Amino acid sequence: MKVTLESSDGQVFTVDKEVAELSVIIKEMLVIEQANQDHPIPLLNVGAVELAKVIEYCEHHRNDPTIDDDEDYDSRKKPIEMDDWDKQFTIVNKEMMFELILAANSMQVKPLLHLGCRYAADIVKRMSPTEIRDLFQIDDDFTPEEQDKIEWEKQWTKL
Amino acid sequence: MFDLLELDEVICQQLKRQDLAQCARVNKKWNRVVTPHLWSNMTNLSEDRQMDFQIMIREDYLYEQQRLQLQEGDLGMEQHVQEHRLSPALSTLEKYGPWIRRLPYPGDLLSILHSPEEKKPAAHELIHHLYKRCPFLDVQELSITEGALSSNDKLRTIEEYLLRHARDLRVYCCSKMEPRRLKYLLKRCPNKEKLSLQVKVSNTEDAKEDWAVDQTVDESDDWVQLKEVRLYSCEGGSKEFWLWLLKRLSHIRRLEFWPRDEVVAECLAEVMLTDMAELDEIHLIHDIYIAADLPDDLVAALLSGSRKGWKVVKAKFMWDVGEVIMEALANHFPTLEVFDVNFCEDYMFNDLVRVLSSSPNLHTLITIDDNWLLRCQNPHLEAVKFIDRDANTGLLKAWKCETTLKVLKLKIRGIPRPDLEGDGVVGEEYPGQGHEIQRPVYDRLARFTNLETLWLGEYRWLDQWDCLEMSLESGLYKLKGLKALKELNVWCMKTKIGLEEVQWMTENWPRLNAINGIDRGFSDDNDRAVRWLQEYHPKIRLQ
Repeated sequence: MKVTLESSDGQVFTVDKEVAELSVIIKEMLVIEQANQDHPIPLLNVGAVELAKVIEYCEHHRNDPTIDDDEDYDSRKKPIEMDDWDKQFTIVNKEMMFELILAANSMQVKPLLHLGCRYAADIVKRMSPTEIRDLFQIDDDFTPEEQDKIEWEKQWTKL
Repeated sequence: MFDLLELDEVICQQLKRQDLAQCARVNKKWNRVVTPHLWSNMTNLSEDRQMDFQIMIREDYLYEQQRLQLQEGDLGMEQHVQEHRLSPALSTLEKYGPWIRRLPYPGDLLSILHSPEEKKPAAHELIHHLYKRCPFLDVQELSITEGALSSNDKLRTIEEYLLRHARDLRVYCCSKMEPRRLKYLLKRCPNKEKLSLQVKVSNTEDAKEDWAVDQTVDESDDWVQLKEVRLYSCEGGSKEFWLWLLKRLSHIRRLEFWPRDEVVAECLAEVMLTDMAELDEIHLIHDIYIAADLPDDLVAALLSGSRKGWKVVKAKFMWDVGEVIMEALANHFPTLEVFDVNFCEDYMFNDLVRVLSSSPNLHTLITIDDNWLLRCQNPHLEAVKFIDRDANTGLLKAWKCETTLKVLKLKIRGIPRPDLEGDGVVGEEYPGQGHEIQRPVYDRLARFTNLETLWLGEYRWLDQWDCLEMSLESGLYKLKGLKALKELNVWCMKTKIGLEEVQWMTENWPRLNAINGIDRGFSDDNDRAVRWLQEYHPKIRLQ
């Protein structure tokens, strides 16, 4: 069975229902609007470029086991697994990837969201605060006193 | 980061402490997001830092005492504090304490408790202070040693803050401990899931001591959550005491027992069958340095003491109890999944065939001391027994574990090797006998179609001269179907694995990631094989 999805800029995509259902939001909408499946499902926060990419991801992972939401604190801390396909998939520029994370979040595609977070974490790893500020274009708003205090507290973060 | 709590959470969980620390210095917003993660788990601090952490608790406590005195109007002190004030207005512990869930090292708390009585501030005051600052501390592993039991205040502190949360309780006490002290601790730890005891229990109670007298806790408590117990070298104490303790282990599933005292072993054997209905895993380890010699019938009683049927049996002995073990386990083959046994001598253990042929759920059979626990030699199986032919048809008998077995660590010996010269060589009775025996051994191995780990050699001991050649000529090609094989181990074996063999292995065993023991320099072809693997299959580990 097919489902149509409409991006925020009006493009329509037709996909298999089981692919679309990797998105928790769409799955829930399909349950509610069962009678009304002729109309495309509008995704107001997701542009066509991102939606195409999300669909590409869902197509590939359509048969994966679902992620359990009730995992306890410790098991969530486990590193997120990435296979070769996923690695290829994440070779895009970082703006695209961040847009994709937001899209995955608004559509609630959990595995893609986790993949994106892993990607974001990998970017930040081993970067100095200055490098992170440059990358994300954010300002340092600490006062010199606060900065000193943080330096002093830093000792507790050394391994 | 993303202004979305859930996303930030997942990202932070992927970062290590050093990375989180860098993120905390980016700006105020990032600092807010990262701080809870940065401080929640302090378990990985370096040793120096662990010491510093203890010092921080102490200084934080002293500083607070000064502040309190100051509030009481001691102006001289106020001046002193103003002048020497090094810590920020809000101390580090005060500021970040509420985020801390895991301490640098769980034992740290207790090492505070180990400080001598006369040392000020007293241990219990420090612990009290720590919990005031870090109310959400989650100390699940609790190791209690003698030092922590030396005063009433310490004991009450342990009870008040620690015992009720502990899930993994360990009590180590090498000097004699009164039974009621141990009872006191055990009864007040309601959430324990694992219990490890290494205690020397005295036979009498000291009448002068009053603190451990305990009438208040309900004796009927039966420790429902307790699933795993380790009794390591426990000794002393009356039969009555041990029965009291062991009868409360009625819900355990896994028991590790390092016997030292026959009384404890007898009590255990008595209680296992009657009271431990869930028990299906036993590790019975007889270490010569700690152990008493157990009579065979007691070993047998312990190893037949699962009402449910054993799933996992690990038995390590310093002497040959093969027959006793096989006798005791005779009724457990239907449930047996893991069988890990060895004795400290090069003993012929042909009864193993019974385990292999009769256990439909067996996935692991180990008779090689793979974690170097007892540092000893290992039993082996004679090749002709391993083949196990049907006397009438001459075909190999079907074994029940053929599709379930994933791990096999077993020395197969007694193979004539006319190609070798040396003391340990077994000669052929007629020409060709060596290969005639080897071929059905490979046939037998080939029937374990899901095998992932195959060890035929043992590390660090005598060379095997009467072992499989592991050459294609001798029949290695018969193992073509072992598609799941990941690890092959031929340590100390006089194999003839050459270039042709390793090329064949990499072609036919796609998941192979380790070959151990081929680089012994036995022949030039050996070296060529090693060099080829290093060049073309660098991912395959060689050891």
